[in-house]
Amino acid sequence: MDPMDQNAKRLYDSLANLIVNLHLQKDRLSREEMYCLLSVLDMTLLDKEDQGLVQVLREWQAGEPNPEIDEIIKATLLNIDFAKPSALAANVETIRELIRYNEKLGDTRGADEPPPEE
Amino acid sequence: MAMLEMEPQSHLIDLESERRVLSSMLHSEEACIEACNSLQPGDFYSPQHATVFELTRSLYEREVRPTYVELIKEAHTLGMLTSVREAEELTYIAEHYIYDGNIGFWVKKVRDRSRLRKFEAFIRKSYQLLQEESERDVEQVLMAAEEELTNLTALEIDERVDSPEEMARLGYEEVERRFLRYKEIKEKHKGVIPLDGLPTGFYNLDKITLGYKPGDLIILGAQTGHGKTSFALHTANAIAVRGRHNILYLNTEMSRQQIALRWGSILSGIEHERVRSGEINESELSQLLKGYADLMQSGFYSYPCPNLTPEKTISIARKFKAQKGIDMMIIDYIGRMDKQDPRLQEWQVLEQIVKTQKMLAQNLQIAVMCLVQLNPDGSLQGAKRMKNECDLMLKLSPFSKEDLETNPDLQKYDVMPNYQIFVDKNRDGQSGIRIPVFFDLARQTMKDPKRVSV
Repeated sequence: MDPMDQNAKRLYDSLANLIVNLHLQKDRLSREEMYCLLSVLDMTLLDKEDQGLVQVLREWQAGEPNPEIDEIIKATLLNIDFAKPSALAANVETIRELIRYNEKLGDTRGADEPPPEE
Repeated sequence: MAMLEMEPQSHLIDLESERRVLSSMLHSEEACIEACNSLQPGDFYSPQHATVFELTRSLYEREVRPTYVELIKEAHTLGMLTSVREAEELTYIAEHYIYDGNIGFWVKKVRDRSRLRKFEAFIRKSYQLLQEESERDVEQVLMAAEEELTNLTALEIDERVDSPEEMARLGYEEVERRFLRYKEIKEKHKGVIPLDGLPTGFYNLDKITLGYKPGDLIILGAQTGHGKTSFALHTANAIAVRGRHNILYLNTEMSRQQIALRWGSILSGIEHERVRSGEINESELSQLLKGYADLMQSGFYSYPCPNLTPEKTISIARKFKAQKGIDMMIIDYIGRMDKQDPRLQEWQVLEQIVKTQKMLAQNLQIAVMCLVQLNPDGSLQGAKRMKNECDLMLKLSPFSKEDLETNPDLQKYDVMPNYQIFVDKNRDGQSGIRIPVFFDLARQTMKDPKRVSV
């Protein structure tokens, strides 16, 4: 546990408070959403073992939106038991496969589209 | 009653130090170890702080790194974080963190204030007593007050003075317990020695010592290349692999790979050299896999640490006691520990290390085994002082060539013993005894040779 630099610590505290308040005060986040976001915060800013989750989340955000797949990924994320590294690793793999599947769908759609008119 | 219900004086309350300790626990493992070891929830004046301390300690003991986020999750799961106000209090604590590397100072401040508050409560109670019961026996009042004050000033939580009755009762209970256990084991297992502590891995040593007991400091001396590490791993095998107790093994010389390969040889019975070079066949490979499967189920925790210091051993031992519930720690070996003060001579450093380890063994109620290097003539530097501190001093040495050739006693075993363990000191039993053992150098294993009639 290395001491954090002051800016990172301020950011960490503020984000944690924001997430908690969105659940407790504004009721904008469910209990599961709060737990998931807090866990991701620890992984991102405190370098906790993430089994590749943060990278997968980045890939997900960079990809094409697909409401149906996005819902499945979200449901997977909310059901992860972050205390169990093996469960986390298995779920990361599931999300990775979903992202790949979405990419494939995108490629197929691209191929089916008529060529642009000249 | 009014006196008793009054709030303590403000200078006896130090909320700032309490927050410092708690926020340090959320940021540093070192702080967690120090605070968990030195403080109790009751030492915090603020009930919220006491709760946060308990939650953080509980996370740490369950091996969950106690971050601010984990604390929020834990408090929320337990229904202790239901309002914004409660969340703000946690934030306020977490924001108090300033890294100054001086957790001991803040912990002491919290503990000192706690003791002073108890003292203040004692004074108030005594004053109240004086006002309410003027007719009480003066002698009795003063005696009761003295007892309470003594408990408050001189004695730590786990220290106590035994009255003659308590000592006699304890003695009788101990003897009765051993008598019944001995009887039971003798009837059930036909002569297997009932141990008081952890098995040593040698039948005769078990018989003499009744095992390594909590609070024991064991010193094992041997010359360079005369089996110190093999003895340590033999002990670990008996305790952690076969006995399934948790032990912590600190090695200052060997790498992780070297220790892992040694285990392969010990648990499979295949020559170490062949395990090291990979010169093994398919069936030996599965033998090794089986050996490692046993190691996987064991309670052996290894910590290779080339720059070990006495202070580091304390913090590591505390951590493993809290998180893994270790029963023993083996330090292989103390001659390679870093010198904290270059002005000290080697024997002074060794004496300091040994004293620290004895205190550690008693405080954590674990057995601590320190491996030391003997001089070429078999003597030990600072031996007298070390002997004073330890409960059991053992010396491992090979039999001389002459002994092996001419000593008829050595012929009376199923395998000819080539090493001996000399019991130089044994606080609870016989000493000055030599125990013959067989040290299989090729496999790095040790065993008790069995007496056979010739």
